[in-house]
Amino acid sequence: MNQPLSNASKTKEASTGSSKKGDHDLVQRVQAGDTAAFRALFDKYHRRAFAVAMGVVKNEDDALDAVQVAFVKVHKNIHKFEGSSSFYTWLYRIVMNVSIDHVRRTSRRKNLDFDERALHEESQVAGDGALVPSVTNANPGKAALRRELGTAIQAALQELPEHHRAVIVLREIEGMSYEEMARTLDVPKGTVMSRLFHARKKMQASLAPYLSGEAVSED
Amino acid sequence: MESAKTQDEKLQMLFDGELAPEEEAALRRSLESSPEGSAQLREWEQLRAAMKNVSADWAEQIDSDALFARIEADLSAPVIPIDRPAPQPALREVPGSRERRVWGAAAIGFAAAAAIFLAVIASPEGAAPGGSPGVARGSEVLEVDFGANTGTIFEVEGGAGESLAVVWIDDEEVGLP
Repeated sequence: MNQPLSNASKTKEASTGSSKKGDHDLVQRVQAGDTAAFRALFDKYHRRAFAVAMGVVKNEDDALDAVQVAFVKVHKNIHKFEGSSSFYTWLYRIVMNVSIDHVRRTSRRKNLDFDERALHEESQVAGDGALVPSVTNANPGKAALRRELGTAIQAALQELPEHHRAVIVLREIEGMSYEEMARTLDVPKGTVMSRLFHARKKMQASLAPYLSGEAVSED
Repeated sequence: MESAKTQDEKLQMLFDGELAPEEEAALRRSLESSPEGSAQLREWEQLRAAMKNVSADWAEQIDSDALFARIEADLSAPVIPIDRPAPQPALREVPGSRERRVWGAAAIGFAAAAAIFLAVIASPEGAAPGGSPGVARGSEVLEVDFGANTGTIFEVEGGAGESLAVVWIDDEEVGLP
């Protein structure tokens, strides 16, 4: 049994709670037109927002676009933010919605592209294997392994339905509680738990070659 | 006996730190004799660690200043005004004739016509007996300035066989999103 796991979650929530007041002050300053306060909110959250977006979209450029659009929306709508929920819950809801919209648009475009290609080319299956490289062929170096793992995780995330992807990203990357996820995604807490369970199960299956051995962080 | 679903839910809640302390303590005791449950927790832990590590790598890639500059540029981009006052539709007055503007808000059809102007193309001898007071007689429509609107001019036959010019003005402004 790994005792620190649940404690880590509580510590995260406690630290998040302590920053709510600071966020509230910054939001009020942004509402009053203080651009430095907007930069402070950006500095505080943009990396985490980017990580969340990376978990939903397919690549770095798309994630950067999503974060850009999300912060622009935040700035334009911050006068509507009344502080009844925490700022970061609001922000992540925007990031998540923008990212999912992006995926849907890209997916539609991709389907069209695929249909066009299919008219002219033979189907190609050779590329599929490259998404999740086999551990046995992996570079043993730590940096290379992490890069490979990153690619594999992103590929595994892409295979999840959107609503499963959203919960596992918010939980495992952002460390949100069930309650916070329910508020962010606007679904009941029971739905969050169910989706999270299934998302984990699918991720475990996709990443089995990586997860069945020793802990990946300390090789 | 608890259902498998409840056990899975509780195990997951334990892993995520969502159980009450007494429930957590009880579940931890029961897990001492459950290798399957312990193995499940280890796999979840590995998944979490992997995702955390990778997301930390992702976040390090960002050029924060460049990204903020993009946001600032986006925010300072000129905005096309959408609330500009639309010029009112108007008729050009023809010297020597009588002209009268009749405004009626008419929301008809999907395009929702906003106003209808009726003018009579008739002989300048005078108004027909019993003519509608809202209809001007003896006017001639030479040109209609629709302003920011679009519209159509057509001719219909009136009840007394007279010729009526109908100016149909749509209320959808051109060029707006």
